[in-house]
Amino acid sequence: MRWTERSWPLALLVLGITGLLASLAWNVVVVAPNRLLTGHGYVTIAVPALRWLPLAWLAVLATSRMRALAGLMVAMTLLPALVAATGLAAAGLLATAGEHARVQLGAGFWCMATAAVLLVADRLREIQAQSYLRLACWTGLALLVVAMAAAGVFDRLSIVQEFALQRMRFITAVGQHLLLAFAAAAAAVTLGAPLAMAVAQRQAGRGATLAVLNLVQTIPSMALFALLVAPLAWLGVGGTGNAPALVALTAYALLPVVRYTLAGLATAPSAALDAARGMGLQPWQVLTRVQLPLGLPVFAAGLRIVLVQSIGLAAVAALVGAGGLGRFVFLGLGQGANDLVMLGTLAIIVLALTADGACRALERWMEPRA
Amino acid sequence: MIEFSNVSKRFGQDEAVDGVSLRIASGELFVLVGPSGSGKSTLLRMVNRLVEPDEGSVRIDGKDVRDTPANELRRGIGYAIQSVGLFPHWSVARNIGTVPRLLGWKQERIECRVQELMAMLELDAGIATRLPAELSGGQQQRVGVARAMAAQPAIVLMDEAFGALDPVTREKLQHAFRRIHADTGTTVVFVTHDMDEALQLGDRIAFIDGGHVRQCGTPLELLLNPVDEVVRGFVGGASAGLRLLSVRKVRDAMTPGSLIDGAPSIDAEADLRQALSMMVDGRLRALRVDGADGQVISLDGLLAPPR
Repeated sequence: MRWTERSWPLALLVLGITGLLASLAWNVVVVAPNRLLTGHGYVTIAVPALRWLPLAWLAVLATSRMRALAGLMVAMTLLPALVAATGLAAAGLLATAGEHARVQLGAGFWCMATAAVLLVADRLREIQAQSYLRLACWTGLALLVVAMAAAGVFDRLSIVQEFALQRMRFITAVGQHLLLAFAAAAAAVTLGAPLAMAVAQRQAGRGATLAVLNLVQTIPSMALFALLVAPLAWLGVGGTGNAPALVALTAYALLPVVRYTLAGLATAPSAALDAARGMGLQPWQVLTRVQLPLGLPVFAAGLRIVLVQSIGLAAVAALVGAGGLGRFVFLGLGQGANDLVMLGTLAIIVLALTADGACRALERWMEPRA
Repeated sequence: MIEFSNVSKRFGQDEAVDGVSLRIASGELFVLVGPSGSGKSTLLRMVNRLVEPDEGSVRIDGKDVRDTPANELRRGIGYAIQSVGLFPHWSVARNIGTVPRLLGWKQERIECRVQELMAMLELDAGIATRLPAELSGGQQQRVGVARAMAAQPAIVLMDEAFGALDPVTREKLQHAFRRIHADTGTTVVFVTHDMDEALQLGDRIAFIDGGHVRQCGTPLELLLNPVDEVVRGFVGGASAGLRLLSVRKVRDAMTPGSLIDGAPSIDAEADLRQALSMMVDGRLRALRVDGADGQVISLDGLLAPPR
């Protein structure tokens, strides 16, 4: 088939070129004498176990002239091969380095890993995969990486060594983080949903509520945490720890909760509401039988936004001593230990993506009913 | 019987309804007609208390509507509107069964009634499980009417209920509704801005303008004796003569006479407009009348003053 006969696979070309450049120009791993000192970086072609990577990216680019399925196959192979080879390369490099030496993942690795993930997503979209196939691909990749981790393939990577040192604290932090985010989301729904229902019919009340919540949203999160210290201390619930974190996260979550509740309630056509009232449905029956079921997909989307936002923002809560994964980030920043920062950040990203995916699945499941 | 006694309603500065008194008999198909913004919908919505009058009262069978709790009152009164307002997440059958379910009817009785109504409104039984979005506009309107009549209410309120349809579908539905009304004996209050629809459907018509009743009477009365220029302009205009023919039946204008066998004939219940159309079409001066021996309908009969 000739070039002119179909559109260019733009995303694939951009991702392939990015991966190729990253493999040639940026350090894929950095070997440091210990966990805090700056180390010496290696690009892929400087490490025997990783020399094939530029060729792999060329193969990705070559699939731009083939069916999307070929690209998917290459991407699905490239991603686990990249992480496995990097893990093994780290072990090889450490064998010749000093006792406290660490192998850190470099910008080149992160860039290639991200490009490979996006590539899988893009090819899945291109072949118009059913949702079960998408789920199977992602679960398969995740399981593969988990299996490699269990087999010890990544054990010599600095980020995994940081994790091994902090294992118990890490698991506790994940629990705290989720608890904080979910508690804030739950509190915001408990407060925000009735608030939205109360002001839904009143133009003035709705404007004022949204104006206040928008204002809250514009306060930088660190400033809000700081602002809460004094009043909460005065109230006797403590200016640091979980209380201010929960209050601040709830305050941020209120705007999306109210917004989406209002949007969900407005899903019901006004004619249906008029007919419902005219046929003698009580106001609560109009709400439960017409407005809530019709708004369900919108409410679910709102819940997703609120959860993802809260999981992200909860990182900052560590600043006021609330625990959670943010602790690792700030601890790492303080010590100059980039891998500790990365450990916390990666975990937060995974949590947010998982929450997002789970909620999306829930939305899809709800849609045909509504 | 529905009785409006001197009712008024203001929205802000606007006098939507201003001192209206009307009496609608049981079993009547009563049409409120008038230009948009004339207050006819407001008047209609006072019956089921979607609008509460500022002054005056609305009584049903002598009982003030305000003496019955609004929801209870509304469940006893059918309500169909122009935009239909079917619940988009419910099947056709569930939509039709809304009020019976509110009233706590047994499931079998509801199903039975839904089937009966769908047959009555000439809806294919196969669409019972469909969602409203899968229906045509005409089907949606029929479902809307079925829903309004589901709990066998003594009164049905219809606000431009056939307004959003194309002329052909609309005429079909008007005929079907006329027949259903005759069969059930329900009191119907019907709001429309379309004078042809009002003349076609109404036993009696109230012409509403600026919140007042300008004239109230049978279609023939409005056509023959409009009280003022406004009513004359609205009922008459260029097609006044044709409208006059369309509200009268062959039975009311036939005269003794005879025509040769095999001459075209028309039903005694058909309207005179159809008779005129047949005459023009066949270049005839007279038609035989089916089922009425020795009677004909002639051009002279059409022109004679209504009896």
